[in-house]
Amino acid sequence: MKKYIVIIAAALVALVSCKDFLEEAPLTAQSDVLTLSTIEGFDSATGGAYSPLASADNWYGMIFVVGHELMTGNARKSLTADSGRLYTNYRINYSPTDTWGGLWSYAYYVISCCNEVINRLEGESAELGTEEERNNLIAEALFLRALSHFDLVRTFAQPYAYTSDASHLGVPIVLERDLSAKPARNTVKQVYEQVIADLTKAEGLIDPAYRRSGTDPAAAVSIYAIQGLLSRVYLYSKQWQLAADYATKVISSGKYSMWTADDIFSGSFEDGDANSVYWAESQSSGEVIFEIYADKSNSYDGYWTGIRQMTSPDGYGDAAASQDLIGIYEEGDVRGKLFFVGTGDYAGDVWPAKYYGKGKSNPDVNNVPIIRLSEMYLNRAEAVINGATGANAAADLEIIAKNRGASTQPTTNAGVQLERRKELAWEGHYWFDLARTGTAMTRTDVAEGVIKEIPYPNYRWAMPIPDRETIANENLEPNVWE
Amino acid sequence: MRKIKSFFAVVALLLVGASAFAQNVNVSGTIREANGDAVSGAAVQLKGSTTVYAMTDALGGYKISVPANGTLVISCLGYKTVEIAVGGRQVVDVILESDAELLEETIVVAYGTVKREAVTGSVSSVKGETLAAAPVTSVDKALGGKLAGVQVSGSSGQPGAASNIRIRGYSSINASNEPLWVVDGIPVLNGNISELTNTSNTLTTLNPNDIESITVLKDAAAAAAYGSRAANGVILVTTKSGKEGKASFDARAKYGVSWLQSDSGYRPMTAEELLGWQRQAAVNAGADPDNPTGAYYRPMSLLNGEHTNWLSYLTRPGNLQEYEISARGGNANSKFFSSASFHRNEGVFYGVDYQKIQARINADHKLTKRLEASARVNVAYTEQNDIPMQSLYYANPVFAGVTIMPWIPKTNPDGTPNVNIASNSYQNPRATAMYDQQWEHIYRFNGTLGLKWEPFNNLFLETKNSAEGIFGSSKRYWDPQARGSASVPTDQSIKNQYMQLTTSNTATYANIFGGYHSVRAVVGQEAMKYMYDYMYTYAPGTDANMPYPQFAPAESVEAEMGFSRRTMLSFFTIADYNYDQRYFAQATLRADGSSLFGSKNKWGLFWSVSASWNLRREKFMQNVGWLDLLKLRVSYGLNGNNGIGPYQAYGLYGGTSYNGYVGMLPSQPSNDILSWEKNATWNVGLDFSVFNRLRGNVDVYNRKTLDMLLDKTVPQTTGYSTLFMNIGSMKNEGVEFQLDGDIIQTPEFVWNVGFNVAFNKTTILDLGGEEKIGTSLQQVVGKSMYTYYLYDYYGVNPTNGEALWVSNLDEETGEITLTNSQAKARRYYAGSPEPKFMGGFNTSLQWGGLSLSAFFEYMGGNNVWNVNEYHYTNSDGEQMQMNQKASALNYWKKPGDTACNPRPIAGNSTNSAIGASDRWLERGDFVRIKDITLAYSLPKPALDVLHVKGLKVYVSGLNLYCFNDVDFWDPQISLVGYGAGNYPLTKSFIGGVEVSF
Repeated sequence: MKKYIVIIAAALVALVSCKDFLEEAPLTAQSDVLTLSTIEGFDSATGGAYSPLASADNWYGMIFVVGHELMTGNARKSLTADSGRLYTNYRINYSPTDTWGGLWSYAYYVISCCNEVINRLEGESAELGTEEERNNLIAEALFLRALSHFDLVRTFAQPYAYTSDASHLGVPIVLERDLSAKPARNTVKQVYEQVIADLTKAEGLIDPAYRRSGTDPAAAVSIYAIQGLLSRVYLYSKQWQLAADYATKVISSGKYSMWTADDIFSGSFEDGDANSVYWAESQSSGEVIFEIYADKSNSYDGYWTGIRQMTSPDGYGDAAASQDLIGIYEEGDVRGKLFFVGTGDYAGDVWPAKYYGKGKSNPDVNNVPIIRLSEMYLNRAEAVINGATGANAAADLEIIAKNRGASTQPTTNAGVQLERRKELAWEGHYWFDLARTGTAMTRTDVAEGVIKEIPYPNYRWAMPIPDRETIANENLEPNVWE
Repeated sequence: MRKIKSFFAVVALLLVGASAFAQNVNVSGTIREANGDAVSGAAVQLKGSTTVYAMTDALGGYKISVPANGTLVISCLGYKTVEIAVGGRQVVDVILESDAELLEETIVVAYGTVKREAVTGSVSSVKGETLAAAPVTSVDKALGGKLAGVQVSGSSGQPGAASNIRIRGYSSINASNEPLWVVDGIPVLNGNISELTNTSNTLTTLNPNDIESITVLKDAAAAAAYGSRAANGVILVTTKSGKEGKASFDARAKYGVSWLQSDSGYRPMTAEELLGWQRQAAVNAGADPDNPTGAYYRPMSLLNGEHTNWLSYLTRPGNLQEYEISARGGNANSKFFSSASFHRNEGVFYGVDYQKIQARINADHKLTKRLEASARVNVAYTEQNDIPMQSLYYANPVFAGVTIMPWIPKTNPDGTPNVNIASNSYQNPRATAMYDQQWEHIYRFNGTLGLKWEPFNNLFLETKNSAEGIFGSSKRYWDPQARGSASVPTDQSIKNQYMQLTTSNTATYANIFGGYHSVRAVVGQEAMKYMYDYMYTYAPGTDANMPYPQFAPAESVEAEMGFSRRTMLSFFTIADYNYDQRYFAQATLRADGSSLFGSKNKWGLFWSVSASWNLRREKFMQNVGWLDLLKLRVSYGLNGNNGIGPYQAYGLYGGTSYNGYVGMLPSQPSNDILSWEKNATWNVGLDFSVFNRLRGNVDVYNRKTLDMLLDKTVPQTTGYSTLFMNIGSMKNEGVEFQLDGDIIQTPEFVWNVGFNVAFNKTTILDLGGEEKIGTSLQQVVGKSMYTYYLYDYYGVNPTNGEALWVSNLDEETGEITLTNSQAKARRYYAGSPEPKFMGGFNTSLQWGGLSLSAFFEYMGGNNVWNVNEYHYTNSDGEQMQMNQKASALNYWKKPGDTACNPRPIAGNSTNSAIGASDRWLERGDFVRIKDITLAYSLPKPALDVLHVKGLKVYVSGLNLYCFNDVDFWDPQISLVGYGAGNYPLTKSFIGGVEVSF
């Protein structure tokens, strides 16, 4: 036994004398030092920064699209299926405690992830990997940071034209990681300038052939996604010529092609042979320039509140299509077929089919397009109608109408906005299009007591800043809702 | 409260003593030591009387009037007690022999033992036999009420359940509040280690019969030697060691039965009661209960068939058996103690049982005159089966038993449990017990090898090296037969292991200089490494005949691994000094380095200073003969709390899956200044003993937590929502009082009583700038650790039976505004689950070989938020598919009714039974008869005939009755005063026999 004791004692003494005895790093998480020490680590950190965008309750995975549709005449709370969710969006009765707090926290989270990548790869880690590798990662991060700032500013601030010089309150621009920072709100103009600066810089850095590998190529940042978002940002800030030029860059790249009527919908729901390109597992050709990939294997998969679940009676089915929207599609317009009358208990509602699930093998999830080719044509047409040159608005509107089986809209602002609503319905655009064009939101097919009109201007076009934020950061000015 | 008052009335009657009267003579005399010195302050007492006594004066003289045929008992601290017959004499002189052993009584303290007299901090100790008497599965259960200021609470009465222990209240919100357990000088693992079962207590493998003594170190001075782990107090357990002499054996056997019982009348409704209630609720909702197509069709014919008392169908008499043998012996060089035990406990619910096999060997051997080796080895295997409880599962028998409606058949025609119960999600807890599996098998090993060397006189070098291992295997299997629907058989399995390695090395020097200056100095070093690993698999769709992951579709099997590591390195020193056993001083200093904390704060320094003054030994007290001991203690110190999870100081990235690849996302920012919470504690205490009969102590303390760890809310523009920082503070103030008395002490008859009470008040001082944390149960600055924040329920409207709520209370005028809309009710701070006072009392009577002892535990000033079950079982009609508790029958029936539940309305949507309401708040005061034991030890002549050294038979009642008004199973629901679907504390009778030979 004595010998045994001596052995154990010696072993323990040896253990103790180990100089890093008090260092115990986690084994199933990685220290930031390790992650950010190799180019592969930066690649993972950049790839990871996409992940929160797929969140259903906070961002593109459902709420950013469905919630915004419910705030307009495109959607209504379903009459036949209702889990009690999304009422605030539908009634547009936000408050500082019940607002787009999830978007706020997720977008700034992604911004902070991107800042780590951008600042380190431009700073202390500028020796890692090749310049091309670094540039591509920086460009991806810049795109995600720009998209985050852009979604924040269009949600929490009045539209760009609210003041003549866009000097009204936007959201804080965060470009550095500082855990003690309490930033004040920048002006809308400053935020747009930052978003444009990030995107133009990304455009210059990214290799046009670069695309992060993944199941869905369209879920990765590409030079076309950068240019497409730039077109939209310029459109929102009424920089018409640039909006048109960037749309042209994407269109003329030849990488994308218009969906045909058959792509959009074929077969029939009754026969069970319905099909739509919207339900694809991935998008490697066609219209989608950037989208959110959905799958149950995603860490941020929405499970029961994903976009498919919330827009289908097979799931919670809280959001159905509004008669206001159904009424704008002409007979023969294939886009109208993407809205179908339910069966059985759910016959009382018209359901949107853009998020019908990825077929039998993966019925619970659906990708969510963010930027696609039709928007580029629509952006360009609108820009040209408002004074940009170098393209033909009538031709742009016609290419859409032709591929949908609809009559072409006139080259007026009203015409292009109507086409935009038809084409981009249930993709989260309509609310923002109303706001940026200073158009009142009106709707008729809503439940008793639900707000039917929001004039412009109105406080309701800028969502309340979450009160946990104004409490934690005294420099942050709230949005006053009456 | 009325039950508690009536209880005290009964106790008061029992405590009325008897007086003796007889024919007296006046006796005087002198009491001296053998060397002729007078003994002052000795007690001279008439044997058998508590009222006739005298004390000797400075010259040792005394006078007393006693019966001529009486016997005098002369006693004095430090001397052996003498009995002498008066025999008609008028002068009785006595020589007293000093009793070295008594003065030398030592107790175990941090890194050593000291004489009880020399203790400077606040410690409480309890002997092993006091603990072993209670028939419990783990020693922590026996501690409740035994020691002032030590609160033991479990949320479960399940065999083998874990407890929560609070010593002097709470010190922390996010770090641990549990004390450190130290067994034979080595800190051990404790707490709940359940994986897939409801609860699993690490301490069950410590056999209460193996324990020699337990010391609880309560203040900073006593505990400071444990530094960063000492903030919540330390429980020192010393196991038995061998004794020199012939080997002796003890064999014990016990058998007991247990049952479920509410002492406040809590029960579900019978079929008749429930039907009446439901029909009334239907009528109140405007429905016709006799209309077959109506929404609430509840015809009287429901009573025609057989009714099931679900609670009795789901419960059974529990039983406990335990067998143990231990041996101890030794010679001048070697000593050993060993024990082996088997314990089996079948719970009162089907499917719940617990088994344990445990063995220990404690050996000490003198290798040379100056070198001694020791080994302490405990091994155990436990097997636990249970079914889902601790939450309101449909399969939980304590919930289903009060919610499944009595007219639903319990069995199928073939006698198997009926699972076709739509209202209970097609589950029947008897089917769950029969078909599902939920178990945990644990192997445990705990070994400490020690070596003690005395290189020269008065210097001891000691090393203790310990390895503790827990190896668990746990499984949960859901069988479709227990669900009644096309559910898939699903297996979940976990394998885990805990390892803790500790080395503790000390050098101790103790000596007395110049006859008066006693010195003890300890320097020490310790290192600890803790490792926890687990692997979990989830396998849906497995083969029902072979429910293991490899029989499930490969793509659906999920696996997960987890690892946790922490290390600690420490250096410490303790210095004791006393002058003439009159003035005592102690200082402790400990430096702990821990892997848990930030790189800039890896090391922390903890310290204490304390002093005590033994007044009894002062010259001016020499004449106060009745006083045996009077000692004043003062201490102050700074301890740490390292009870946080590992890796919190690291900046971390975690994996995230998206678009078919795995990326990394920041999950936690680095915090290189993350540090210990600190506890600064003042303690002032007084120890006394009078008339050689009454001993007690009083302690007053103030304990302040500094640098309390909180999740500070930060702007999310930082990318994070909260940062874990050392920013808060709170304090505990309290008084503790312990008193033990020997009321009658004669050779034939002994009557002892003991009493303790502790008052503690916790106050949150700073939450890092926040006013409050939490929703219904809050931490609020300026209030206690936990405060309920609830809607203000007023009662029923006597005119129509609606629930009324207070919407506004004018603080100045006291005027209240009522509303019938729950949504308009005000919310207010309604009470706290923390007791204002708690303690215990005990009494034991011994007459010849017969003894009767009783132990009571009590608590008061706390609230119980009896919410979870009530929300369903006193639902005002909201739940029409569930049975209701019987007291829900007391509802509004006619105008003028008050003090009752609102009028039940089927499908009630008024939220009158909302959980966050003070309607469910009840006073949690109780007095519990924790243990009553009647024992008989055979007298010597009988033992000789049987050739055994001792034989004792006993019968115990455990938790026989609890005086309380909480309308539930038991008032002790959990530390936070609420819990859902908990296994209640049960009642039991246990009989046993103990033989020594």
